[in-house]
This record gives sequence, structure tokens and C-alpha cells, in this order.
Amino acid sequence: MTHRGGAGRTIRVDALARVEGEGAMYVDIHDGEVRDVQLRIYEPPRFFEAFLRGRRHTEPPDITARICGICPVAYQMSACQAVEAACGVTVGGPLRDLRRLLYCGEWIESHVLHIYLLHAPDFLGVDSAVDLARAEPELVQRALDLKKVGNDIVELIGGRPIHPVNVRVGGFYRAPTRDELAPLAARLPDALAAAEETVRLVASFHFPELRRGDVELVALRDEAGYAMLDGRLVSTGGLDIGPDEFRDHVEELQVPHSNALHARLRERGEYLVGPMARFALNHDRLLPRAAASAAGAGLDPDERNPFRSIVVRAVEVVQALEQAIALCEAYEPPPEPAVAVPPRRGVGSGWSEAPRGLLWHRYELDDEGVITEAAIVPPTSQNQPSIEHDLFHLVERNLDLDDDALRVVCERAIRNYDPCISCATHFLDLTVERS
Amino acid sequence: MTELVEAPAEAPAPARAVVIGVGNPFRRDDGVGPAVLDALRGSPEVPEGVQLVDSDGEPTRTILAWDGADIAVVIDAVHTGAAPGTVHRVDPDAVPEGGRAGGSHALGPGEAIALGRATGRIPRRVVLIGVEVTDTSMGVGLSKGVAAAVGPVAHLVLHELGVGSTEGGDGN
Repeated sequence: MTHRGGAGRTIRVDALARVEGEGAMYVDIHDGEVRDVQLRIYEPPRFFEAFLRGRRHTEPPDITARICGICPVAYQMSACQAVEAACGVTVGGPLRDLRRLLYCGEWIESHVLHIYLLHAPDFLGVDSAVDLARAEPELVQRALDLKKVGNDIVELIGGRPIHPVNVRVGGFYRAPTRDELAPLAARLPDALAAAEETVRLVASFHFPELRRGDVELVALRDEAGYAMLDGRLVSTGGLDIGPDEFRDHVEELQVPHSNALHARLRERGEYLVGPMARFALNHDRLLPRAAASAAGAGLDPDERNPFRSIVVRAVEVVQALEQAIALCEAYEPPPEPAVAVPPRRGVGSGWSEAPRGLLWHRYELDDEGVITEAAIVPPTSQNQPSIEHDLFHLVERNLDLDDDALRVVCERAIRNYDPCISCATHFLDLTVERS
Repeated sequence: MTELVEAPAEAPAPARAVVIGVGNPFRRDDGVGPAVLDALRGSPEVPEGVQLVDSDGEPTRTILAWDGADIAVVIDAVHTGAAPGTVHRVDPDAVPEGGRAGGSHALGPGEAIALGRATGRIPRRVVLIGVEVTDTSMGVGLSKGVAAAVGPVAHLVLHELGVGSTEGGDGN
């Protein structure tokens, strides 16, 4: 809908297609120059931080899983590790492997959804996933089959496919037997082949030019392999810290236009988390078939075009499946489904690589294990300044486009980041003011 | 439901049914779908084998939930301007593809139905039940009118599954 009048004009679009979540985007163009680009995202973690205060130390995994329907496992894993750190407990061995396997399921589900149903339509010249299903049904069939494998991993280990109920601080309520894992494990090789096919498909897409050589890429790095469950936080700018040091290096700023806090590296500014950052900092840790897929797709470890993040996501699906196969083969049920995590007064931080990037949690507990303070920094608030930066440049380079065409360009740029704002009901308004 | 009837050898396989409750219980009224599932979990009338699935409404999750079923009943929050708690039985053919006019979820039942049809992964019968909501802010608990609809909607679901009465269930 377009309103005209006065010195400028306002274009209002009621929803931004294929971005899960809610928020708004505002573009201010004055005398042919872009003055401001603001992305407003409503950020549920703020509500949950308050909701968690006064709750028992065992509750964050169940409660924070509700923040995101797409990545509940990420919230659960970061929450568990932060609480365990506060209580001085480390969960290792087969329980850690089981957590990794669960997390692989979520990466597969989330990435496949984004690649095929949300992002691929941009590159294949169709308007939506439904149009894609009509034009190339076999692609959507493949997506559904691949996603089902991810779903089934999460359901088998997590207890159900959404908001897994089998996860608890210290481990799980119940660990699967080898026999229970076997039918699922038997399906993984075919899924791996389909994932490799996905990489070939997306690598053939045509990508708009955009290079973010300036931005610092930040991701976990884990000696055990391609970062997913934990590790140290490293960056292309030399950062190398543990979870307790996060606040020393990252500051969150309130910005007037959004209720989401904007994260920045202290004295360095904006940074980027997510698949492109993970790949840049972990490409040497890819398993063999994922590494071969990345090489076949021509992915440069220094890839800096956000439009090519779809290729990295596809490689990470291969990685997650290859990892899942290895974990299933090596699986021996843990002696106990969880280790005890007795409460104590303390502060603990934990993090993991959600499909969209680093997710950091911090909890303060009193003597009884009651939460007195909770902090959650999700990937999207970390990427938000960088998304605005991309949008600024794209709008600048496309000022000759009419508002509808400009909106399409901006929507595509936002989808590169698969912003995790899917946290329930959601609408995104786009406003362009030209004067 | 405990009556024992010997099935004839050539009896057709019983219909596989799934009930999908869409919504987020931390967005107040948006949690009405899962609340109906909770009510059904406590009901002895739910036929054995009926799957009750919580969902965030993401369409591929809906498709994977109903894949292979003969009947799917989907309960979602809707916002049409009617009184909170009003129950709408929505014709699946009338749901817009974007899903927004029907459900409150950006990728909603409309997409799931269209995607399901395009891929042949849709039950023979899909029943959409929309419950009019009013407060979808962050928080837990349903507003009064919506909470009052949970029982009747559970009855309506049972009716769609071929059991229970429709008492109070058809508020359309």
C-alpha cells in the first residue's frame, strides 16, 4: 500500500515474505541518498530473561526451548551448559555425543527448511515454496524427506519433534538403545546423498554481487570437530575467549528503533555470526564428504558474499548427516541418562552454534539453585547491525528501482541471514520514505 | 470405547488420524491449539492410535505430522475480528495460501495445504478449526473467552474423529 503526500512518500508492506518472525524495516531516502536503514525486530528472549528469574535451575531447558520453534535444541543446549557451568558440572562422553546427535537433527531440519522453502525460491525465479512445489515438485519432495530425517533424529533423542521434552540439565531423561537408533541410522546414508545433491543444486545458483570483507566473522571452534555444541569463541580478528569472557568482549546496546539489543564487539564494532562465520573459522574441521562438497561447490574459506550463505548451509547439512552417521555407529548407551547437577550458588555461561549462529546464555543461581539473573544473546541480535549494513549498501546501489523492486532486493538480503525471529506470531512491515 | 467387537478378517485398516495443535503457549492466546491437545491428552474418549502433535505451524512440520494419515484435524489461533473464543470450522479450500488471513502464523496452514497438495502429501480429509484469539503478547495463560473455548473445541475434534458429542463444539 502506498501513501503519497507532503514532501516524501511512505510505502508500507504488511509482511515480509518468507522471513519467519516479526519486526519491521524502515528505509529513509533523502535527495537520492540513503540516510538511514533500520531493522526493527521484536525479541522474545527479553521476555524470557524476566520469566526465568525465580525459576529453578532445572527449568531453563524446557522454558527457553519455547523461544524458537525452529531451533529449540540450540536453546536447550546453551541453557543446559550454562546451568551446568554454574553448578560446576561437566557433561562429557556418551552424553555429550548424544547431545551432538540431537543438535545434528536440528541443523538438518532448520537448514533444509531455509534452503529449499525460504531461500531457494529467490534463486529459482518463483515467488514461494508453494510455487516451487508446483514447478519442481521433486525438489520439495527431497526437502521434505531430508527434513524428516532431521525431525526424526530430534524426535528419537529429544522425545518429540518440537520443544523436545527429553532434555534436562545433566543430560536426558532417557537415552535410546542401540536397537532404537538402528532404523534411523539405516536411513542416514541416503539422506547424506540427497544432501550432497542439495549442495550441487545451490552451488549452481546465480548470486548477486556483495562482499562483506570488512566485517569480523565470529564463531565457536571446537577441537573435537566442526563447531556445534561448544568450544572457544574465535574470530577473523583474533578473538579467542571462553563463555565467561563473552561480556568482556561483546557489549549489547539499546537502539531507539528496536526492542532487540544490538550486539557489538567492544572497540571493534559490528560482527557476524552464522554459517558463513562458522565455515570461515572451521572449514578445516569438516568431515571428508562435507569438505569434498564444499570444494566441489567452489566455496572459498574466505567467502564473504552473504548471498552464498545458502551454499554454506547446504554443506553444513552434509556435515551434520556425516557427523550423525559417525555418532550412530559409535553409539553406546551411557551408563546413566544424566549426571547429577546439584544446585549451588554460582554464575555460569554456556553457548553453542545454533543454525543461525552463536547463542549465549548466562545464569546466576542462589544457594537453592533459584535463578536470580538470566541473560540470553541470540544470533539475530548479533547479526542485526550487519544486516542493516548490507541493506544500506543494497538500497544505495538500487535507488533507481521502484519501491516494490527495492522491497524484493531488501527481502532477499534479509533472508541471507535466515533471521531467527520465528518465535511465534509474526509480521514484518517495510516502510520506505523518500523525500 | 471399551466395547469389544471381533473385527471381520477382511475389515479395512482403521483410518489413521492425527490432531495437530498449532501455537506457542508463551504467546498467551496463541497457545490455544496446544491447550486443546492437553485437554485431549486427558480424555479417555480419544481413540487409540490417534496422534496428538504440538506444532509451531511451520508448514513442513505440519506436512510431516500428517504424512500417511487419512484424516488430520488442525487447530490454530485465528484473528478475524469475531468475539474471542469464537470457533471457526474453516474450509481447507478457502484458506489463502499465505495463511495469514486464516491463521496467525506467517507460514501457516494455507502453505501446508498448498504444499501438501503439490507434493501429494496430504490426508484425504483435512479439518481446520480456528479459534478466535485476542491477546498474543508474550506471557502464559489464555484469556477468558479463549480458555472457555478449549473444552468445546476438544469435543469438536472428537466429533471429527467420529467419537464424542458435538455439544457446544460448533460455535461457527
